[in-house]
Amino acid sequence: MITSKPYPIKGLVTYGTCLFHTLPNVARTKDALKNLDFHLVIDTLPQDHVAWADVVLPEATYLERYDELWACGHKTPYIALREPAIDPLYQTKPAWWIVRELGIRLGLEDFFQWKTAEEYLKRRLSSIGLNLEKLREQGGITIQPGKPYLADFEKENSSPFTTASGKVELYSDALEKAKLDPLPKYEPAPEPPAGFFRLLYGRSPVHTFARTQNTPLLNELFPENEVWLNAAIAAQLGIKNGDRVMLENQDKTRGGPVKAKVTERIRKDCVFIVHGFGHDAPGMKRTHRRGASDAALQTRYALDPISGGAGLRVNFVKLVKEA
Amino acid sequence: MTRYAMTIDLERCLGCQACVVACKTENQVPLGYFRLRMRTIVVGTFPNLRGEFRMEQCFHCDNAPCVPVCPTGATYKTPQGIVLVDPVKCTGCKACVTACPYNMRFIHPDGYADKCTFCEHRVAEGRVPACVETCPTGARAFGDLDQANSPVRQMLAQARRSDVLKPETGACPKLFYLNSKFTNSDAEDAPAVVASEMGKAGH
Repeated sequence: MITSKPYPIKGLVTYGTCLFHTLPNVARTKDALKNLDFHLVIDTLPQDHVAWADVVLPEATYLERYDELWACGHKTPYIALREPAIDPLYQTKPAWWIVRELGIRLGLEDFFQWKTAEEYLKRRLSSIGLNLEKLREQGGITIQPGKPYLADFEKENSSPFTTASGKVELYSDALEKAKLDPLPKYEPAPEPPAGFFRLLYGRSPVHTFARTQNTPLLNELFPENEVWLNAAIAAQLGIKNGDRVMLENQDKTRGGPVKAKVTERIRKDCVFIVHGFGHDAPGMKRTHRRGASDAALQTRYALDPISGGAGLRVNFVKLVKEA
Repeated sequence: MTRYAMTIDLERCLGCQACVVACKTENQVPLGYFRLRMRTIVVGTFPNLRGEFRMEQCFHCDNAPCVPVCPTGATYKTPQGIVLVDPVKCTGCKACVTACPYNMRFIHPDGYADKCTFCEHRVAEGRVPACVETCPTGARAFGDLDQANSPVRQMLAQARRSDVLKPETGACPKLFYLNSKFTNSDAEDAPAVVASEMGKAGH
């Protein structure tokens, strides 16, 4: 979207994704959005990125809508149903309704043969001899009778691993064939520059991603994130538990203010914040500008040469006491 | 005789506080007020650390110190051993709040003393308290302490260690912490992080 290569992207539909919290380097995400001709956002909350939409289609929450069946194939296989507890409030609509209505208006009606989510789910469930009524009677879940996933392999004397050896491979022929190191060597991570700490992030069990910080019952339990700082380092820096500090990364991007949590539960060369805070949207009124956003401070990221996975814990921050 | 009690296996507690949310929703506890609180205990220096989460709520004591101090008879114990408050009789004088050795009571914004009820309304229907039902790791159990095969008796029998908080009060709490490393130890003197104080939230 920024380079227009290999081709320009001019339209975007963002659905159920907190663009400015899911992706690192918020400034870069905003640059990319500036290149769009049209941006449609479907969401349940007035998140930061929703203000960057040309059109907003407010979605009903998970308690107000049907969703696709949840089929889990692991360990103990099951199929679970999500159905509305109440009708949608405030003229919001479920995503399946939004997509179908847009499809009809685009002349794609033939692709939407089911008029309601119930019709669609009924058809899907019929393939396993179930229907909505029966599934509801079972508490909304059907568990495959019989044995857990791995027991199947034991019985057939086969392996769940798709490697040539049928085992977990520490030395990988597949990697060697791809001209990659078949037994990757440990490469030490760079040390933080003097005065800086590696910025780690993670979760609180109270919150889910960046979407529950404004929920009243969860907000009162965990209203803002704190920057965890080793107690010995805090004493050196003269930072006390509860002091408000700004975080400034290696590229001078700032976040916060955020409360310091002085603790033994972290290494001396790292600091930690819980993900999903530092919301900038005024509509998220309980969580508006409380705490710091890890995504905003992640102006750098590293890509794993083998898997392509993004490593985001490669940024360094220093703590600046609030004036 | 029925004597309802609860056990919490602290080795199973993740500190997720789903019980706090379930309690608040079930009992319509106003925003900013809590009947449950979580204490985080951490002992040692990095990297040699040990710790545990401990959920705290009314212990429904056998010799509940809050009952005799109530001047209006609003605080009482049911024949099944659940300590309750009658909000109509309660004048909000706070005698019980002061008498509780565990600081488990608070004044509800409507003016009466409030606390955990062991979800007495659910128990009357043969269901377990909301915190027990919602716990994702099954850390909590509820049942009759006087019945040999009840869930609490089974949990107590299986536990390597069981504690009530500050047994020296003589209150005889009926909430038992199982497999706790630090309850009633010196570690309790270390500053602990309390996520949600009873009554008005601290933040």
